[in-house]
Amino acid sequence: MEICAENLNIIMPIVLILLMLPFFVIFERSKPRPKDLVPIAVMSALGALGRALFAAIPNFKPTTAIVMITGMQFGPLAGFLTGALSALVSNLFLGQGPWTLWQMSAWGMIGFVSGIFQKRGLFQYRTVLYLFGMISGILFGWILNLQYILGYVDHLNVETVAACYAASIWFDVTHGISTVVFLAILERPWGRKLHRLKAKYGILEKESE
Amino acid sequence: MYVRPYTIFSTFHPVILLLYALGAPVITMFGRNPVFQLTACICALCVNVFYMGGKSARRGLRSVFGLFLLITVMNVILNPMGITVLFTVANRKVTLESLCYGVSNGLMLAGVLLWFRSFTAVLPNQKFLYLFGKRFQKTGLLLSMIVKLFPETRYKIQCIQQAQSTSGENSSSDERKTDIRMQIKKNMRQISSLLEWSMEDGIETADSMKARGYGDHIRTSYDVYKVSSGDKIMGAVLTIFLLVSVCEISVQNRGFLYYPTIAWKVNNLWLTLGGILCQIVFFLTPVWLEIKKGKRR
Repeated sequence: MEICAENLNIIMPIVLILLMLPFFVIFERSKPRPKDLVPIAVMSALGALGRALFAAIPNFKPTTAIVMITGMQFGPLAGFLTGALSALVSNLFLGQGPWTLWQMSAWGMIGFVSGIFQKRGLFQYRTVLYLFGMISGILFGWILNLQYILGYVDHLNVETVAACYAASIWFDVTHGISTVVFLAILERPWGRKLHRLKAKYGILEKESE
Repeated sequence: MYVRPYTIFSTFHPVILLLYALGAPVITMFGRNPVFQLTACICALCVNVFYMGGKSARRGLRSVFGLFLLITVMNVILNPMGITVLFTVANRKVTLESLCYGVSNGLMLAGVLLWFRSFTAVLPNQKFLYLFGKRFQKTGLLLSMIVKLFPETRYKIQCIQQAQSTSGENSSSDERKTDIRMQIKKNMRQISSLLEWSMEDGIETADSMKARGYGDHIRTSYDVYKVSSGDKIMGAVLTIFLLVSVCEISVQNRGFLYYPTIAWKVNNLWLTLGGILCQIVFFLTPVWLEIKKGKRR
């Protein structure tokens, strides 16, 4: 069968679900206690609602930074869950759509990868952290563009794709910048707070070690 | 947002509601034929009006219309295929075919968006959690925890903003032109206190869950849904209509060509009409169930 826009519309969601399923299955298998669930729930709610606090500043979205910080402090799996669930839940209120799955996987992956980076000790260097924030802000927009391009543009060629990305570049760059600003101001104090929480109450011990 | 609270359709098992709520947008996505897409769009609008009233549907239509225009224009500008040239702008041909393709694609997206607007009305969050809470227990619990945290967090944000506005801080509405650095700093402080407050509450919730014996027994659900014989019949009917519609649409997609010129080969007129009818019956399930009730009374 020829691969064209309408087939991709069906195939891509299935691919994305299969991509995310292993993370959820691993989470189920790990038998989390209530204490392990709470930080993920709180961080997801903050990620989804944090935007409301920054309403005065246009285009300022703290979600990516919050997901990253969670991934860094509570481990890759918690980072993935926070990203995916804050996308899913904020869309429960804003309206679900074909983009939900893309947002879920994009934010989930950001949380997962930042957890792995932290484990490897790459985030000791602030430059790496800021660079990662910038790139993940831009990549998030690019991944969401894919949803539109693969689904609704017929006859893909370089020109079409370039036009689409050129149209969104300003939003993506501001997203990246806002992520970096957020990380620069809040990464240290939040990291300390969450670390203390983890040490005091023994939250998500198995996983983050 | 107003949602019609009691419908006959909502008395069916959540699985059937899910079948409908996902089936309708999937059918709409499959379509490539403008006639089918137009019927899908109109049906989606009807269901929107049915569930959320005319006012909300009109608001939805307005937001969807913008996207529809955007996609149509994008396609016309970016896609020079087709024979019938309408006019030329800056050495770019604008063809009738690409315009039609854009309109049909825009209709498809508009239809899908309208379906998803009524998704929560058809399948309320509680039933959604019931469906997925069993297989994915922890994830389901996590989801419902976040849903519960939402109004709470909103209230906390309000409290923090009000408290800080009294402590010598300019509230954002007072002075619009405050330095953006100050604004960011202020908001950062607010979100930090939000984090501390929420985390503290969360730890208390976790402790109290543990004290009440969470995780000691098999979890039960607040709502109990049993599959009745009516559910089975309804499920069979919906599945048949869904399958017929999908088959019919894939046949019609092959028969409809946009390029080089628009052409629609109809093999069998009655079959085509039957396909459209099947689609409409599937799409309007919640609506015709109500009509039947009216007659019986």
